[in-house]
Amino acid sequence: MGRSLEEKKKRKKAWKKDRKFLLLCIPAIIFFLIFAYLPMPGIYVAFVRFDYGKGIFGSQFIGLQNLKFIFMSGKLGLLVRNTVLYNFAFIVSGMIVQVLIAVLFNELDSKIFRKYAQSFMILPNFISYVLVGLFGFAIFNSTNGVLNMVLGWFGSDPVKVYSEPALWPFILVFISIWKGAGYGSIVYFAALMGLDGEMLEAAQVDGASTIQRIRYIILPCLRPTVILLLLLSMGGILRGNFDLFYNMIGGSNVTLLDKTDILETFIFRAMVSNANFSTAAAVSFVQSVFGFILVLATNTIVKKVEPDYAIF
Amino acid sequence: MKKVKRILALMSALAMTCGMLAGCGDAGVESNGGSNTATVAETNAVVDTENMVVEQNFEGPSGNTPVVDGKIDTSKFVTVKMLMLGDPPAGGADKKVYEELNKILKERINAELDVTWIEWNNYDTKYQMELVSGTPYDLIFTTSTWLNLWGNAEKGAFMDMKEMLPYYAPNLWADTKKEEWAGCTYKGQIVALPEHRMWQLSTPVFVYRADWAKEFGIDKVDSMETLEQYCDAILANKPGVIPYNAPGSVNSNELYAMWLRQETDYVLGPGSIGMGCPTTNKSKDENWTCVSPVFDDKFVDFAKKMKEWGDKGYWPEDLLSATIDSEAMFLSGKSGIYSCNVSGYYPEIGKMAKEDPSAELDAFFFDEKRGFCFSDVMTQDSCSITATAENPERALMMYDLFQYDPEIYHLTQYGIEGVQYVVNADGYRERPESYNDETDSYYWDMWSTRNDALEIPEYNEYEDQIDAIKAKIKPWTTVNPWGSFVLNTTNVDAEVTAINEAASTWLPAIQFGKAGDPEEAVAQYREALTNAGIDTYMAEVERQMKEYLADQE
Repeated sequence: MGRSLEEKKKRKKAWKKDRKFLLLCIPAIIFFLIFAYLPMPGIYVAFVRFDYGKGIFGSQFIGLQNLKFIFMSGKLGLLVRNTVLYNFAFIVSGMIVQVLIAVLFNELDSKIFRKYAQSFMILPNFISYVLVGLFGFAIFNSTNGVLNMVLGWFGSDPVKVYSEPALWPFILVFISIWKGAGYGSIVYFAALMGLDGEMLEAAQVDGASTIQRIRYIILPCLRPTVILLLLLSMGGILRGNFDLFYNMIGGSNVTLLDKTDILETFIFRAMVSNANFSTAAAVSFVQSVFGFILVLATNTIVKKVEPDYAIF
Repeated sequence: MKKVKRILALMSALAMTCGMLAGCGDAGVESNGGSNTATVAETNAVVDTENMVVEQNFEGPSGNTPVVDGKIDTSKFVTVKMLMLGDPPAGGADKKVYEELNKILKERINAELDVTWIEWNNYDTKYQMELVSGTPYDLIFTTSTWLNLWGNAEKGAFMDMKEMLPYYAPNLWADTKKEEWAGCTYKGQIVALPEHRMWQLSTPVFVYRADWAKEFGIDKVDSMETLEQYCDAILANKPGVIPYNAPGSVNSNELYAMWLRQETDYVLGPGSIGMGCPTTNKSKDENWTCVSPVFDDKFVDFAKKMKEWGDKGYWPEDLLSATIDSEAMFLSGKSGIYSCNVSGYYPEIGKMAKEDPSAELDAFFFDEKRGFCFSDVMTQDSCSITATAENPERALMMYDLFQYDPEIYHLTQYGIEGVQYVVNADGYRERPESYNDETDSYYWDMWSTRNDALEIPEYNEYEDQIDAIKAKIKPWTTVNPWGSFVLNTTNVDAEVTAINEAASTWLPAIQFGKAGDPEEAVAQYREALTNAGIDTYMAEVERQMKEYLADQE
């Protein structure tokens, strides 16, 4: 009796102490409730044969029938391979470049130069993929592209980039890095800003070289951030970047498809003249479930190896 | 408002039917089928309109307007309730028009009109609610492409007008052909009124520069051979011009559309899927069939030819990944061909004249060789009478006036003369100076009453040229032969999606000769279609067609 009373008292105290903070959380809670949880029952649309007249819940339940078409095409293996590998390449290469940029900025002495350079690097992030696609075409097309013009000066034969599948993994990864590196580096840069200056000073006094300082102090300090961002990006590994692929390559450039077809572009082709919400929703649902499982799995692994860095 | 309606119609047509192509934009292939309609072939027992006996006396379903000794008795004053779709004109000018209209209607048929609008916002739900609740609308807008006319007819929502029509809508009855009625017939009942006197035909074309053709000594581009000559001549004589400077997309099908109409007998109809249309109907006469032109030997020849054209540089090397404004290219003289539908050709004449007055345009009509083109379904926009209607007879009389009486036609279509429109000295319709869009805006959304014969045209500088084109293609008009047949894809949903994917992957690349070796590409396309279950799909379509035909008898 006495114990529970005490506990009650304790809880009351905590409540009193924290209620202001809880109040601050309310907008966020409401936001997620309305925009993320309330619409969730709509996922049901993925399992029905959607009928406009009957609505989502009145339509006939057909289970996983909506996914049948992917299996019929026999391309599932290729699509998953491409999607996952591309995302893996984007995540890893992006991360390396972003960390590198953040560290380099951190080493810069001129604040003014750093500010301008940073702004400049963030710029590509605000260019839409539609425009990026146009840039790409201006550079790579075989009739009057910049690339072939330059190659021409050196006496090389023109390259038909748009019918050369082997080139595309590199081009796509490069574009993804170019577009995201500046913006992504901000997070790492912010983490570095929070670094304890005394530690660096101490290292300097002890005679550590710049390389040593980076290797033994700065990089280890970035580890939690790297792991956190990695965990977050795991959720989307089965979700291709449709904007990038569609705008760079076009919808039906068959010669490139072996190397560039991802789930999203495949579904686009299947749905473009056949607005079937249920099928689209079903695919998206599978991607989400897969992402969810992946996040949980990665988190468990992280927890085992470095318990402090796990999200939950 | 027309635009809104068109967009809505297009959207819902796209959404509700998977086997349809909306014939516009860069889409060359256009199908008349899908959810659609019109005549049922001769073999079917349709309403035998010619042998219907018109008696001297007819009671009519409501008894409010009987025919006695060959004369219609309108002594009882009634109100006809009509439902239209759309947002009512903001300024409320429609009320004034109806006031004016009701004066005339009272005098002519002793009745008045009461209009209800269903606003665009959430219109489909509201419309179904009205039908389900059984509000007794005498005239109600409906369409088979985006408001489920046949589905509702199946549920008995609409009244059979067959017997009433000759008595109460004599003009409409006399002016409508047997096959046109067939397009409005569901299981032997006429449940809708046709949209049939607003002539339009969507037929795909390649617009080309007639002045260049003359320069090259080509009299006319009207076949694949002459098109080839024209393109070769452009490459030889017009440096910097690409014969067909256009982008390729997953929806590209213009060359396939050309080939189908020039080299084969296949026709597009119900069962044609998506933009790639790997399935069609066998021919104009054998239209209750579902076959695939892709598996035809001729398709390989087509692929080879297109590869040859592509290699010669008829279109940009990287077009499948390019973004090109083909219209701008054509207008600025950087392209020799513009692909569009005939309705897209009309405005091009004026635009070109503005860009380059010395240019002359002509068009390669794919359908010219075969000499026919299926019209839209009769029930694209339509009007029905609900099963619970209280005054169907007077409603039909009124509808007959809406469509065939010049005075009432002008009033309903354009509004009040002097307020909404005036007719100028040259006989063209224009806005009066006093017209104020905020207060005087008026429109009539019962689109099926439109009638070309009673139209007062607005002035168009290029009218003569447009009229000449219309005169050329009008004789090709052939009533859509598939009656009220609607394909139900429930059993083959996965196949439809998979076939769509296969077609949008392979057709654009093959038709532009950008899929590597043509024979191999065709083999791969066929394999993809087979994997996608095209055989199952075609069998299902034919099964449903048979069932439908059996039902009609």
